[in-house]
Amino acid sequence: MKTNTLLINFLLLLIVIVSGCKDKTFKKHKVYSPIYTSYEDFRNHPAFESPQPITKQGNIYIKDDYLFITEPERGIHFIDNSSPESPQQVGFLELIGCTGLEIRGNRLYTNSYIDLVVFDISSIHQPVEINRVKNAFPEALPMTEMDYPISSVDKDKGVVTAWKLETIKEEVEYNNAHWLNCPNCETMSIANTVNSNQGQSQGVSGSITKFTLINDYLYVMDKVSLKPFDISIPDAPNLHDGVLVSREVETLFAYNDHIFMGTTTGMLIFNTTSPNQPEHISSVNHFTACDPVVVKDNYAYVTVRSGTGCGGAFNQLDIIDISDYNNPFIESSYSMTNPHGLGIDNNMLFICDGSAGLKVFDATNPIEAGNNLIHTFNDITAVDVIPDNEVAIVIGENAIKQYDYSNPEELILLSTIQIMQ
Amino acid sequence: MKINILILLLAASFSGFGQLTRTTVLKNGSEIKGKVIHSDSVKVKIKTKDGSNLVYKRNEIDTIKPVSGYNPHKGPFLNIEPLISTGEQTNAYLHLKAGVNINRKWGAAIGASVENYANHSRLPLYLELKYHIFNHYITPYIAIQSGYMFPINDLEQQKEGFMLGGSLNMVCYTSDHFGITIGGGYRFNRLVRSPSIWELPQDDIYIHHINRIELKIGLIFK
Repeated sequence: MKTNTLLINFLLLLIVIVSGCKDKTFKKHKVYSPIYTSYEDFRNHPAFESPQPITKQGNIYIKDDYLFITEPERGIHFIDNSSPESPQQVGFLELIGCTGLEIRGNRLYTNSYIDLVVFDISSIHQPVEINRVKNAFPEALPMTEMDYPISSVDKDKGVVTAWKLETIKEEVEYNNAHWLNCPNCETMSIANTVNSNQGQSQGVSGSITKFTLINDYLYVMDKVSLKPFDISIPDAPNLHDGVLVSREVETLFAYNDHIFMGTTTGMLIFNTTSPNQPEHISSVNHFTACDPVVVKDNYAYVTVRSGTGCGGAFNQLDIIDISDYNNPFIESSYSMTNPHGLGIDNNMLFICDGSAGLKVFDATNPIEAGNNLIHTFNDITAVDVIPDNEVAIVIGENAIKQYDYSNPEELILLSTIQIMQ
Repeated sequence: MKINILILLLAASFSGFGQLTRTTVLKNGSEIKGKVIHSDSVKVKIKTKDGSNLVYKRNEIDTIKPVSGYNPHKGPFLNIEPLISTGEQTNAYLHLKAGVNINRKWGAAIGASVENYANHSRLPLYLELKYHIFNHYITPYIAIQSGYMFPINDLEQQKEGFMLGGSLNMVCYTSDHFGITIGGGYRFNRLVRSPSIWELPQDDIYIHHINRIELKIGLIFK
């Protein structure tokens, strides 16, 4: 009897020991750990400072005689562009977490990480913050330079305003060591502004933007949610529930009361019949790539770009017939080098073809636009462009250049603003 | 095939592939050192170290006892040790050890095997220290092992490895040259690998902690 008890105890002990022999897998990896700023400090009124060097390529926006350049996460450069031959920097609005803007009348709407901020720019030399929609973009985070995951964020500690790269070791499930990568979170979450032919006294943005205005509504793409702000009372934007978009949206373009979204997998069209609840009505799909979009009359022009962060293996211009917004279809496609932003004005199509420079096409016959190259400017790695009033403002990796295109056969370089990287 | 070889080896060791050297004490007081190669109720046959065969009647013999001062463990040895390694995975491995017992208690060996963890092969090369509890033909002994787990395949991914183990064993010599071991213990392996091409970022490092219970039975050749 005693022997049996001992044997049973021994077997039980053996089972416990064997069952305790669990294997463990640890992953030693780099992560971006958040650096917080208290809500109070974060929302201190931003300063408008004397002109500063532009150190990073951002989004471009024009309004009347002024050019605005967002320097990602730092703020907005104000430039007097009344004379494109000699643009003069007016000042720098230091606004942490700013990536895009939209202007209507004398109100400038921009983002500061989680907040939408409204400035009165009646005096361009003295912009004043007049309102702030707090926590409008709760998922907004600073950009990350490299493709490392981010660790969890505790919103009680404040606003994440920077990252610290750390090496950590933590237990993971074997064969399940997949991580949420978040390179360039912020640019993926919120960008800038979009064109709209509707409304009055508003500016024009480059094509790579996630802000747009249609009538009394400002639309901002926040990760997977298109957020409508009612700005019928300009000083008091009213945020409505966002519209879920199940794709990775990169750019917005407003045209004829519709929103054209450039996503990594195609172009989507939303109508704004109910402005606080835009409705998806159609889409044109393509392989995974980056694709800004602009629209003129019955055609949408989409550049499809492959590469880091975009995926895919295609670099082309797609021209899409949108005469029926409910049934868009690709009319023609043309091979490109590495196309980024684009713009169209007076039947001239400007395409920023990356290292191949700025290309100008005659789009008198939209379907054939890709066959009608007028000129190529190789002296700039072009990223985005605003063609407006016979001046094309092109932002590249190292400079902002302006060209006079009043004579399509002979584009003239007017000025260059260096980006001091 | 492997099982057949193992059975043959076991049979060889049990069947007196050479017997243990003993001291046979006769009733007249003389002592003869040699292997008892036959023994029954009538006679005892002893083979001495010089090759002579001596036969004594049983009633002439007082006792047969272990040789005084003889250390059954001392000297070089080769240990073939099949084992079952069990934990989250169960595998059967064959370990080979070569070493020397330097005195009545202590011995050391270098061991090697080929093992598999999550479809990746490793070659453990280790040092084993042994402590025999009794100076007897049958004795428990404690062994500790420590060494390096060399990757064999997927060298791009498989990086350094480390092993540390301990076991409680029993050795039973059936002759001067053969013995059987049986035992059980625990082993910890720390294996490091870099990500596969499907895992990003590529500069991550995965560290696997492998915990195993080992049950082993083996043969010792001296």
